[in-house]
Amino acid sequence: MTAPERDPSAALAADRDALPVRVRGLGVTHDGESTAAPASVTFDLAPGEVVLLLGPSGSGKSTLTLALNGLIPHAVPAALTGSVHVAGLDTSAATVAELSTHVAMVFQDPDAQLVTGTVLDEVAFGPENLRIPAADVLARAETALRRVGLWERRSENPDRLSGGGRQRLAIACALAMGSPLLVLDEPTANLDPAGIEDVYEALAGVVADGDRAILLVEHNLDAAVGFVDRVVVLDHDGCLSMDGTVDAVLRGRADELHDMGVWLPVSTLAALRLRRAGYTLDPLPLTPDELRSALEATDAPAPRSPAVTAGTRTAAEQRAAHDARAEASAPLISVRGLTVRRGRTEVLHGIDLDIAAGEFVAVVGTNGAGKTTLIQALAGVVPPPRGTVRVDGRDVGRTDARTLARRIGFVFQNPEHQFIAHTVFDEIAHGLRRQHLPETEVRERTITLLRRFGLETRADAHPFLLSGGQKRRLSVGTALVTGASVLVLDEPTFGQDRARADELLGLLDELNSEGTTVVVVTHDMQLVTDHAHRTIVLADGRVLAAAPTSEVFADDALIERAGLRLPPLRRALRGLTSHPFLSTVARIGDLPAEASA
Amino acid sequence: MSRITTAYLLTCAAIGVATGLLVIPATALSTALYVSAPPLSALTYAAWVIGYVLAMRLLERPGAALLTGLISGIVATPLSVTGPAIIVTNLMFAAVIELPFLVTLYRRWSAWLLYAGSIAGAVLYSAWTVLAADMTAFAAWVLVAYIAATLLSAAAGAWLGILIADRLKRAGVAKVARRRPAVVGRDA
Amino acid sequence: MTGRLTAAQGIRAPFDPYAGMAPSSPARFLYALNPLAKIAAPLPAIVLLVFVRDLATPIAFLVLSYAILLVGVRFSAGLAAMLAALPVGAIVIGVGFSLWTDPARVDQSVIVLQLGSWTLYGGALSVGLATGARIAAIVALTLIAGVSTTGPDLVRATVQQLRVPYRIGYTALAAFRFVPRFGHELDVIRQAHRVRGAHGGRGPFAAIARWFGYVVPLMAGAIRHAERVALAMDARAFGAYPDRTERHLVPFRARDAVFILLLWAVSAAIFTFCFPWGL
Ligand SMILES: Nc1ncnc2c1ncn2[C@@H]1O[C@H](COP(=O)(O)OP(=O)(O)OP(=O)(O)O)[C@@H](O)[C@H]1O
Ligand SMILES: Nc1ncnc2c1ncn2[C@@H]1O[C@H](COP(=O)(O)OP(=O)(O)OP(=O)(O)O)[C@@H](O)[C@H]1O
Ligand SMILES: [Mg+2]
Ligand SMILES: [Mg+2]
Repeated sequence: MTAPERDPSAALAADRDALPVRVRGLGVTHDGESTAAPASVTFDLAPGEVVLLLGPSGSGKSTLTLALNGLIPHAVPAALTGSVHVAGLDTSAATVAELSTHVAMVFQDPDAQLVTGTVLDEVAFGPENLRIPAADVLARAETALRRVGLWERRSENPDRLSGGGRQRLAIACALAMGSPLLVLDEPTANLDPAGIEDVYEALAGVVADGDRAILLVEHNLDAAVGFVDRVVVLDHDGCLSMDGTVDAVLRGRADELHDMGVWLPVSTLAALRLRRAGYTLDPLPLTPDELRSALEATDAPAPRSPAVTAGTRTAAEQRAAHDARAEASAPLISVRGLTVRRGRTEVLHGIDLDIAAGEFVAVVGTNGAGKTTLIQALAGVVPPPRGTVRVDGRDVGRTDARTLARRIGFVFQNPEHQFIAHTVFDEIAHGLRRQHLPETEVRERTITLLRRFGLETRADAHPFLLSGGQKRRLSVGTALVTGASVLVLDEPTFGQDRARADELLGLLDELNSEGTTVVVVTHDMQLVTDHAHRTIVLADGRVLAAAPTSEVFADDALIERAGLRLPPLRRALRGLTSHPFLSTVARIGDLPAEASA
Repeated sequence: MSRITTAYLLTCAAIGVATGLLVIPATALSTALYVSAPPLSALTYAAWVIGYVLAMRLLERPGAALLTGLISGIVATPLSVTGPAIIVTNLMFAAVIELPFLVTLYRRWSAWLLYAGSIAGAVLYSAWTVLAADMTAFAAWVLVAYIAATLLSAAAGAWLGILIADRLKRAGVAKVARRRPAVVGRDA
Repeated sequence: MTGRLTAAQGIRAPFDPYAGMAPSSPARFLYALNPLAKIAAPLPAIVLLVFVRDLATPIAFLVLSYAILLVGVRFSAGLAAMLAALPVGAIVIGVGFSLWTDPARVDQSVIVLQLGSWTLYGGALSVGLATGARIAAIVALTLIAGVSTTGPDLVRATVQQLRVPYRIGYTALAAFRFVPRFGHELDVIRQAHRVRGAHGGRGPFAAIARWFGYVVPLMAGAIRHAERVALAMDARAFGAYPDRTERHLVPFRARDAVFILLLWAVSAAIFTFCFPWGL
């Protein structure tokens, strides 16, 4: 689907001689690395084109974007083979400053892109560096800020903007550079659902104007896929593996992409599964709207295979059985009248909650709703007032951190914060050594755990030198090694690509099925529906709802009030008239699986 | 593009901010101790050494200590009772750390140069305070203890700075801004 | 995540290093002066005060700077507290200092206090109080620039008048943003280490080991953040030319020169009148 305001064929047919970017056989090896990522990439970008760059983690997408405006090799120590030409300039000969007028960048972390003290100064910063006269700087800044809807807030400190607002500011800053190509590297990775919408609204406006080419790296395709013209895909080795229109690549080769570990829009994943169950979905849908209309237009596989419904019923039954088990036993964690102050403000107001042993619970809410504060109180990371939180009958407010750590493992958002040793091995062994176990047993248990988490080959590496996914697994390992029966995780999929996220969630599901109680804070609603038995919805420091996940997401008014969004699959299937049985499905896992008939 | 990259400037700024945040409480502590136990106040001298030693050791680039000193001073200015004067103070402390490297034309990066700079700074500093703060009015043993404590603190600060820098290097930190042997070879 | 960080920053940083000074009546003249003028004007007095040994001179400068501050800046509770704390601090320093002076070298004609064999002489006390007053006077003089100048304006003035390379100036501006970030990161790291049970024990040595454990993750995070900011700045043509468009001018005007000369003249008058170096 393309934005209706644009005619993509016009962009593709545009003057090929004025190519803003020509990449030929590009390979980049970072200093200290032995392999190149990307290894060999060749592609062109035409004026006004919107291109999505996909690839598994570590394939070199970010590195490629840095090479487009000369930051590699000029600012980042790396060796470059092949060539990148931007508007006829060879990037290894031209300066980054020169290239900045041709290629503007938006990075992942909005905080890392702020320099000055007001929104207006921030947008003016780039043009000022180019020595543009003050009056023109202001004109440019105004145009850019109006386009992202921030002009009214120009005199504020960027810190006061929401995450989505700051990322829109970063887009305005890029626009103000006046460059015909905009490169965005995961611009929404850090944001809550509303923030993501915010950013894509601003981007859609830029695309609608049609005067800039855009290269977008994004893991969360549900929001992005709407206005993309072309898709370029890198494979595991960093080589170009696909390059074509959205139809040709995302619809035509979805299976291949899926196998590669590249994440697809949730609607497409669901459609792939439905296809295997015998539904005819052609062309393959990419957005919730497309999935819904495709389903409305097609009949259920006839005759409806009994295996299909049976499969679903089993999943539902399993959950019902689980709920019954959860209610029968006394709560493992019980919270009564928990009020938490931070500084002078009251952040949580009289929370009452119960979490049973063996549950998988998700905590959701907008930024600032108090999710982190709540789970920190549960785990005693920040001691709660006495008598308000009990875990396994023990008052968390009166128990010291060391004793608690044996019962509750807490995984922080940034795993690096938790590392205290100099090797991966010692990191895991630390918890065991503190229990004064014999060294042979420490060794044995550490190695077993490392093997389970796929880290045994990195045992001697410095924890900081692991990849993002490995760091996350290590931090989960450190929380578990002491035998904690409760695992509390703060935004575990933050900054991770979807393949890594899946891997981690698989691990959590496995631990949960072995009896570990799991509490997760996240902004990813599809993750919540797919994995959590129960969901706790927080808003402004109060519990709006604590109920089985399916009930929570069936209540549109509740989701609305909490400032959240429905998971993509719910959006697609809700109100589906031709397949009433599908209209209640929320989890990808609950969709009909392989057709057996 | 100039040899002074933005990443180098900002890495020094990060170390400078840390130093600034260390120096502000150190100033308060040193003043408090100065009133109650002058020789002990000299032990805070390390706060003015660690950051600059760390910057030199980690980045191995000319000017790293000076730049760190400048930024730490600027950052500390709004929080410091002495206002912008702290910029000059921090720059002077940084300059003595930098001096031995300047003398050897930035060809050597060994640890003993860092110790030499720190100790030299401590000697100059104690001479200055003895004169400026009228410590000559103190009993002789107080003076001796004061100077000894300053020297001790300087050496400890240098040791700590080197230790932290080496740990950071092992963790692969500051790769962007650090001296690249290949580049230096090409420039030479 | 970022939302929370910012919210925490807002709470953690009661002062906004970027905030402009709110407009005030023209009588509050210090805000309208160039930051460099406010630094240069008291500078000779500050330097000379270091070599002064009497009590009258520092007190004269203390009075002078109080007069300038009370007229020149908006009166606020913070300023009042600072002005009240200074003399108290001076007396505390003075008394503390006098305890350590060598009794043999001071005027012993007056005895203030006698405890057993230990005597506090009037001479020792006056040496101490002079030192305290001197430190207070120096602090008061620097407050003239301190309470009426914003960090960014100081940076701009150094770039525009002192010709400090603008890349260094803007590095400093970006660095102000690191300060609240550091505080927040440190909080989180402390919590995380506590959960891991790192260096639990009590006592000063355990505390030192604990704090040392925070340093590496803290610095690693800060430097990595700094590198990302640097890339973002480079991508926006930072350092493209030897100079850049300046939309905020911090001019050096006639009134700045007048302020400097006036304060120098008054300082000279005080030094001449008191002449603290008794020949
Ligand atoms: N500053 C660096 N120093 C050394 N190696 C690096 C650096 N940045 C990236 N790499 C390495 O380069 C390779 C490509 O990394 P890059 O960040 O470009 O991947 P990516 O495709 O963007 O992955 P992701 O989807 O996780 O963001 C990886 O193997 C990574 O470890
Ligand atoms: N250390 C602190 N001091 C003062 N206020 C704080 C502190 N930490 C958090 N807050 C405030 O408490 C509220 C809840 O914060 P919390 O971090 O629990 O939110 P959250 O739901 O985890 O948000 P996010 O999705 O951004 O992580 C916020 O409004 C925040 O401003
Ligand atoms: Mg990337
Ligand atoms: Mg949170």
